[in-house]
Amino acid sequence: MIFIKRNSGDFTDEALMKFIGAGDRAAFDELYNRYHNRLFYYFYRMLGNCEETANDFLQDIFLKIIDKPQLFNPDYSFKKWIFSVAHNMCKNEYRKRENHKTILQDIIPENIKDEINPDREDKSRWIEIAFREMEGLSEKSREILVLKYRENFSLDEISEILSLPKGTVKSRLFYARNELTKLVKYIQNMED
Amino acid sequence: MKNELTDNYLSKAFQNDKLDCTPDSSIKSRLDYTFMLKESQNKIRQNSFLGLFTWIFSGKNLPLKAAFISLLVLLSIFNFQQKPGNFESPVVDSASVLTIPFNIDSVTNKPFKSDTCSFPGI
Repeated sequence: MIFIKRNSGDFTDEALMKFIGAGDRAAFDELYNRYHNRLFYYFYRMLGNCEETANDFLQDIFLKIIDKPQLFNPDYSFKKWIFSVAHNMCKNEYRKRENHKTILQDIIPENIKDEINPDREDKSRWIEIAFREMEGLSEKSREILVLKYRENFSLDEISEILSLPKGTVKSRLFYARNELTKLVKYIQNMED
Repeated sequence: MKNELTDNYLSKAFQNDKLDCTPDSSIKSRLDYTFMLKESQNKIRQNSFLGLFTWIFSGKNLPLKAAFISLLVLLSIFNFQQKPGNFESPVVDSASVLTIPFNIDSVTNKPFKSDTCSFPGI
């Protein structure tokens, strides 16, 4: 009998999912290595920057892959599928929490007129503040910003993941950027 | 100085965004264990005929099963009738019965080829 050692790193995510369905543990390891940090970031930022919750959700999403790999349609992109699953998990969590509503106007005063200085050294820190301390961004805005700018999904892909028309995605992105712009102005004002 | 965040600026900012924490390493161990557990169950299932027997003796797909069995019976009947050469005649048939002398033992009164008490000299 000839045994062929397979290098899982050479395969696409979709092929790895097929192998996982057939019980290939190496394929699962590879898929986990590819996605666990990205999904952790997504859950962390989406669920109020809580490490424990992000870890719980990360475990849950991979348990879904182990339990029911057949739910994934191989004709579909795995990356889009896994983020749509993550999106649905977050949506359910928001429903449970219910009180996670933020009104931007209540946080940011109207008289913020300063311009943004994007050359500041603490370029990444305002994201941390905007996502955690301020909680000024709505879930919809957070989601679309992470998918667009962290995961580099196109608008078409985002519309598939969120099951929304492309026009709605565009308008949400526009709104999210406005929200973020206001927040950054506010944060920079506070720090000055 | 800008009034609005550009796509490029946002992309860079999000790509450079680092979390203070990392995923818990024990998650991988737990997932590995779950994976192993599930696979062990799968292998037992694959090697058993439980599913097949359950289906056979269940009430599911009854018309299909009845049609299959009828087909088998019909095929076996046709197969039997169309190949008379395969038929083996019994050792004793009506023709041979007529040619074999019917002897009855005088002691036991049962059919026998040679009488136990008949001696040629007596």
